[in-house]
Amino acid sequence: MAGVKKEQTRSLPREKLVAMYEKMLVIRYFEEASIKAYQQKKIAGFLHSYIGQEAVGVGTLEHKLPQDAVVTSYRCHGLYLALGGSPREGMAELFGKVTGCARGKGGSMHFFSQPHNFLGGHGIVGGQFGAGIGAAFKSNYDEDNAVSFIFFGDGALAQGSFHESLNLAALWDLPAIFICEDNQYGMGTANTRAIANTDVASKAEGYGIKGTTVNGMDLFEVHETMRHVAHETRATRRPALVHMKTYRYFGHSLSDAGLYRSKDEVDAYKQKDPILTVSQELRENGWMGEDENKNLQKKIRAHIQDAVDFADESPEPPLEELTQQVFRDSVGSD
Amino acid sequence: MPTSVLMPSLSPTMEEGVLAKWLVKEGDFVKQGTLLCSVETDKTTVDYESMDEGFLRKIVLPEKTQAKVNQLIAVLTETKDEDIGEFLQKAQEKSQKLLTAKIAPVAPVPSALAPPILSTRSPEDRRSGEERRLKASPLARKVAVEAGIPIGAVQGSGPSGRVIRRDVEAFKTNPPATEGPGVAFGAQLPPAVTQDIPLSMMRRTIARRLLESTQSIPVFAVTLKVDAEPLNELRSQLKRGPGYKVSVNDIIVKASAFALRRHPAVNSSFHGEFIRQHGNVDVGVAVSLDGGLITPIVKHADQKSLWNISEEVKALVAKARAGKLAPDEYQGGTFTVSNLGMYGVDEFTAIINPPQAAILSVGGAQPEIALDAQGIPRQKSVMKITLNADHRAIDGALAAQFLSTLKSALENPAWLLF
Amino acid sequence: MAVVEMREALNQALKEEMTRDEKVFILGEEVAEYNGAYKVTKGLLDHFGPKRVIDTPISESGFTGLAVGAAMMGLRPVVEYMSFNFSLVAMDQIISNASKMLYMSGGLYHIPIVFRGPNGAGPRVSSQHSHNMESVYAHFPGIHVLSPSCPADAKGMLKAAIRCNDPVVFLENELNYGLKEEIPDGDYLIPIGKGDIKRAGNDVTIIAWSRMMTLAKQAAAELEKEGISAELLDPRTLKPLDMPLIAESVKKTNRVVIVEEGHFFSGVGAQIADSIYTQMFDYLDAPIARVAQSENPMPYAANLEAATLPSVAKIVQAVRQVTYRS
Repeated sequence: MAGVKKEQTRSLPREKLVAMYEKMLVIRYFEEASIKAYQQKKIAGFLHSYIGQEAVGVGTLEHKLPQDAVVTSYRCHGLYLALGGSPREGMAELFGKVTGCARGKGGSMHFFSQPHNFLGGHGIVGGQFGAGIGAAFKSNYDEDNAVSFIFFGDGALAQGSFHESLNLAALWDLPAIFICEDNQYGMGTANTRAIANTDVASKAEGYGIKGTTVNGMDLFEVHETMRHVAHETRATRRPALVHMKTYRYFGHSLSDAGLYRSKDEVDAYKQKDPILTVSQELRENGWMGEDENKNLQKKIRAHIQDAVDFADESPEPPLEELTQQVFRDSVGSD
Repeated sequence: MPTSVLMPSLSPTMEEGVLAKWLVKEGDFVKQGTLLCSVETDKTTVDYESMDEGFLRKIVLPEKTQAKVNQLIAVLTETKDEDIGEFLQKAQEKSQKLLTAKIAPVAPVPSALAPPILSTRSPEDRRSGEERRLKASPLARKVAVEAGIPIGAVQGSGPSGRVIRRDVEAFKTNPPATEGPGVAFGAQLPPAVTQDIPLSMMRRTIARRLLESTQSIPVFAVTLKVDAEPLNELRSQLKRGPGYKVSVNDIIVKASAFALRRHPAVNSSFHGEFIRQHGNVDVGVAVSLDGGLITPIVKHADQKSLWNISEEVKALVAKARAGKLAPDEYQGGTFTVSNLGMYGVDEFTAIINPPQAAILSVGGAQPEIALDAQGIPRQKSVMKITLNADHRAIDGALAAQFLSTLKSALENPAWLLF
Repeated sequence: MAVVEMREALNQALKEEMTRDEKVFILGEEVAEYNGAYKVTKGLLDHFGPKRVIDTPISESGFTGLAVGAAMMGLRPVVEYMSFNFSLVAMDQIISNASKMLYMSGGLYHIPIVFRGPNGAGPRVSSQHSHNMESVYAHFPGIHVLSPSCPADAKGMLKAAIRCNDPVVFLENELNYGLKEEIPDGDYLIPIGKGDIKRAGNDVTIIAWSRMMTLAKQAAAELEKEGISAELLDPRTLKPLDMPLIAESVKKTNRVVIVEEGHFFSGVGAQIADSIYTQMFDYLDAPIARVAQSENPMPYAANLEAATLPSVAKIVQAVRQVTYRS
C-alpha cells in the first residue's frame, strides 16, 4: 500500500502514531545516551536498559488518565519518559545530581514523578506490587475512578508478593492492571528455568480475573489491547493480568555480559524492533518520509544531548542534604 | 557531524583496557549494535558494540595498545570521506579532559555529619601492663581533677581496686599521710588518629615554591649529637642480667617511635592537597642487601616493647636477606631509620623514602672530649643523628624539636623500657 | 480521670483519630468482625464500617505493601499485626519501601503509616512467637520506634503516631493489654521522642520500656528496702531517644542499669549504653549494666523460659553491682 495516504493504520490516526513514535525514540536515545555515559563512568551502580521494550510502556500509558497511578521495577526510565517525565531530570538523576527527579538520591532504579503519580522504580524484585494495589485501594476509598498500572518483569512471577497482591486485588475489587513485561530472562535465568507455568495469562484464572497475552513488540497490538483492558478495569473495578511478550536487547544491567543467550536470538528480535516497525508503517502510509524521519531523529537526539549536558553541568547534592528527607516531620530533641 | 568513540568502561572496576582487535575496518559502515572491537578489561575480553552509527572514518588506537577509559579510540562520520582534521584535535582535547577530570575525589565529610568514630582505648591503657594501669571510674577522675587530687594517690574500693567517687570523696575529707605514685608517664598523650589536615594557603605556597626549586622533594637536614653512654650502659646491663641482646638499632627504632608519637607531624606524608598524619607509627628499617636496599617495617612500633621490636627486626632482616618479605612487610611505612653506625660512619644524610616525610640517618658512636656538668673535661661517646625532612610537610623547628625529643629518649633509655 | 485497661486506651486513640481524620483507616487480621485478636479494635467496625476497618487475609507482605501504596497516594493507614512476629514476612515492605521512600524519592513521597501490634514474649509461646523487634526496626533510618509502658502513655503516643507523617513502628505487649491505670480525660498527645521519669531516685537510673517497666517498678520497691533509691526512666520512644532526659538523670545518679526484653546482642540497650558512654562518660561512677534476654531462642519449658527472660531478681542484682553493693 506504499504511497497511499490512509486515515488511520490499524486503528491509529497519524497524529497519535507519530506522537507515540516520538516517545519511543526519546526512550531509545535516552537509554543509549545513558549507556554511553555509564561507559564513561559518569553513571555508576546499576543501569537497567529499557531498549527493546519501548512499545510496552508507550502503548500502555497512552491510556493513563491523570488520576491513575503507575509503578514499576528498577527498569523504570522508559515508563518515566513515556509518562512525560523530563529527560533532563531523568539524566541528572542517573548522574547523581541534585537536579535529578529524586534529587540524586534515588539513582537509576528509583525514578519518581509526583505529577504523574509515578510511584517509583523499585529495587527489590516484586517490591512494587504493594504500592500499586495500595494506589488502587485509595482510588476506591476516595471514589476517584482511577486505576493502577503495575509493571513488573517475568522474574517477579516467582515472588510471593505477586500472588499476595493478585489475591488481595481480586478479593477486594481493586482496579489494578498487572502488566508482566516478559523479556524472558530474570537476570541470567531463562524463565523456563524459573517459572513453573510460563503461560502468564493463565495465572489469572487462579484468582478469578481476566488474563490477556499481548505481543509486546507490536505497538499497535499493545495500544489496542490495553485500551480495552484499561476501560474494563476502570468500569468494573476488577483487576486484570496482562502478559506482554517482549525482549531487552541489552543485558539485565550493564554489568551483565549476556553470555546466556545467543547473538542470533538478540538479532532476531531486533528485526521485530518496535521503532523499526513503526517507522516502516509511517513511511508506507506516506505519513512520514525518509527526510522527515531523519530530521525527527536528529531533533530528538539533540534533545537528549541537551539532557546529558544539563546533567553534566548540574551540581551534586549539597552535603547538607545527606540527612535531609529521612523524615517529613521533625520530632524529638535532635 | 563526526562522533567520537571512547575506550568504554566494560567492567565496574575497569580503569584501562587493551584494544585486542578491531572487528571493523576504516571505511566500513557501523550500525548501532555492530561489534566494533574486542577489549581486554581487567577481568576478561569483551566485544564492544557500537552505540552510534556512521562510517568508521579513523582508527585512533591501534590494536594491541593500552588505553585508559574515555581515551579516544576512533572516529565515526556521517559520510564516508568527511574531513575530520579539526574535529580530531577537539575530540582529543575533550577526551583528555574527561581523562583528567575522571573521578572527582570524594570531599571529606564535615565532622558534624561524619558518623561517630569508635572510641579507642587510651594510649595509656594500651601501653602499660595490668598492674601499672590505674583503674578509676570516669566520674572519680573528674571529681579528683576538680579537687586537685592526683587520682593515683587514691586507694580504690571498687572491683579490682577501681577508684570510684566515694574513694575520692573520702580522700578529700581525710587524705593519707603519704602520697601515692604520680600520674603514669605519657598519660597526657592525645589519642592516635589518622587525620587529613587541609592545607593552609601558606602551606600551599611553601609546597609550590619548594617544589619548583628542586623539582622533587625539597629536603633539608638537621643534625644533633647524642650522648651514647647511657645507651651503651643499658645494653651492657641487659646483657649482664637476663641476657637480652638488644642492638643500638633496636633502641633507635623504639626511640624514634617514642618521638614520633610526641611529634605526629613528623609521622606524615605529603599528598599534594593535604598532609596525612598517620595514626600508626610504622617504622621502616633500612637493610642493605647484596644488590640493593629494602626497608622492612616494624608496625605499631610505638606500642611494642623494646624486646618485641628487637625480636621482630631480627626476623624481618632474616626474611629480607632470604628475599622472603611479603609486600605488606616492606610497603606503607610511615618513617624510616637508616643506620650506618656499624660501618664506622660518622654522619650522613639518607634520602627520603616517598611518600614518607622524613628519614633518620644514624652515625656511629665516636669518642669526644666534652665538659661535664661540673665543668670537668671528660671523654664521652657521642653519636650523630640526622633527620632529612620533606620541607613541604615539616618545618625546621619541628624537625629540631623531634630530634631533641629523640635525643632525650636515647640519653634516658629507661623511658623506652615499657 | 478514668481508670482503663491499656487495650481500651489504645482503642480510644484509634477511635478519636479515625473520627478526627477520615483518611485514617485500620487493616489487619481479625481487626473487624472478630473485634481484634486482643480486642484493641473492639467496636470499631460497628462505628466506622467495613470501608475503614478492614479484615485482611493472612497476607502480611500483601497488605503491608498495600498500606505503603495507599500512604503514597494520601491515605493514613494503621496496620495491625496480630503479633509483631508476623511482621517478619512483611519486612521488605516496612524497610525497603516505607522507611526509604521519602529519601529515595528525593522528598516526593512521605509514608504516614503506623505499624502496630503486640511485641515480645507472650506466656509459653515458645521460639517463633516471642521476638522483640525494636532493635531490628530501630536500626534503619526512616522509621520511628515507640513502645508504651502504661495506658496513659499508650493513648497519647498512639495518637501522636497516627498524626506523624512518617512511618512509626508502635510496639505493644500482650501481657500489658490488661494493665489498668488512670488516663487523662479528653484529647492529649505525647510527642514522639519524649521520655518520662516514672519514679524519681538518686542512686541509680534504671532505663526500661514496655513490660520491662512493670518489672523495674517492682525492683525499685525491693531496692528501696535495701536503702537504694532507684530512678525509673522510660524512654517511651526508642528512636529517636530522649538523650537530654537520659543525660539529666545520669548526671544525678552516675549509675545506669538498662533493662530490655529483647536479646542482649545488638539490643536497643546496647545503643543507649553507647550513647551514654559517648556523651556522659565523665559522669559514670560504674560501668553500665544491662539486663536482657539471653542468647538462645525462647524455650517452651517454664523454668527455661524464666531463665531466658529478664526478671525482678536480675534487675535487683544488676543494681547492686553498679552501686557497689554486691
